[in-house]
Amino acid sequence: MDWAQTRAAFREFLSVEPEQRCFHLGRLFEQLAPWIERGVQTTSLRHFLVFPNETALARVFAKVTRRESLQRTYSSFLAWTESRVLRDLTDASKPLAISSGGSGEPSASLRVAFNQLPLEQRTPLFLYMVERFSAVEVAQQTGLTLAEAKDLLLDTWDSFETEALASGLPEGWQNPEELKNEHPALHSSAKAGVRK
Amino acid sequence: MKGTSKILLEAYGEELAWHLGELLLHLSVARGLRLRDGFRYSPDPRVIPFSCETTTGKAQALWREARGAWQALSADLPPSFSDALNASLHRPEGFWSDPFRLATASVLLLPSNPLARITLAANHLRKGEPNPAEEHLREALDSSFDPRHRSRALRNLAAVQEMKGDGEAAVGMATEAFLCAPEDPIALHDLTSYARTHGLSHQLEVLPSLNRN
Repeated sequence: MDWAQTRAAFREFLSVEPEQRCFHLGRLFEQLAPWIERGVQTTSLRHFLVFPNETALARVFAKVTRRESLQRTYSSFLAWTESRVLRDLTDASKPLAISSGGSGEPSASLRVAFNQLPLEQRTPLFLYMVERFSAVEVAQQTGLTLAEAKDLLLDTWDSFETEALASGLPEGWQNPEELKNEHPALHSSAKAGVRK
Repeated sequence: MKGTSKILLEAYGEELAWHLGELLLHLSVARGLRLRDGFRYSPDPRVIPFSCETTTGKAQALWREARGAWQALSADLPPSFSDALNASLHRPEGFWSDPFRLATASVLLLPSNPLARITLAANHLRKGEPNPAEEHLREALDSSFDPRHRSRALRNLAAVQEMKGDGEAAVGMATEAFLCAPEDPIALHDLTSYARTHGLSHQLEVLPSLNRN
């Protein structure tokens, strides 16, 4: 389905008698969900943020139902989706910021701790833990040497580990502890202050 | 509802409630502005709609959508939202042109919105009811750190004190309102007006930001 068809489906939804609209939510959701999911995923990847995807999808969809028309192009819709997600994520009264999320999704406290990391620390950690890149791939993506990438990952993990392990790592996340097993000497020397 | 997840229905219900609450708030403000009863009313420009008729049409359509949703989904909606929606959907005669009833419904749907609280409080003041007005204004103060909202709530609290016959407290509240938003000309006007009315103009001399002007 292309964007023009989705817009047509949205117009059809709006043409339904207001009292009957709730009965058409499921059909509209089927049409819109793939577009919104892509927007939510793009927001996460663009900013290296974690949030409960199912909640984000539902929240953005609910906001779409309040619109008077859908954006003419999908790229405009994408930008709008991104702005909605970011706004709700930073508002402590919104479910996206405080809800516990579905099973296997990051807990609220883990998300807050992760999302508050500085971007230069969050980016490699996101790539390694969430996207399951190897340390080599993280180094390639960030322009660091392999040793620098591992050091950064382990140092960031050290500051984040307590919170992460207290609430349990979400399904599919890669634990940076494994890096210590790969090169225990590297990290212990860093801890001893040898590395700058 | 079959095929639609609970989390989706909750989100839809909450957005619907928020949207309806906002429109009812705007409509309440517009209807209040149209009254000619000598009451000084200067609402926040952000809640004054461009067109009363268009807003009424939108609010009525949304009200129908909310009624349909509540009838079909009430079992799936969060109880707090469901109760608020249900209460706000009992539409008495004259509802759409009565700023007080519109503001009451708006507060049910937007309990933590300071402007909804302040609008309802202003309507209570208009009816000569300082005590319920004060309750809503205290709630508004508790729910916002925005100095513009706080100043507005405090200005209305000054009106509450004046209505209760305590001119000195009214000047005190108006002073706090002015200190919250010294750039707001209405806050300054209210402060000087209360101070003159109650013979307390000398108290203004101690305000450095006022003397600078």
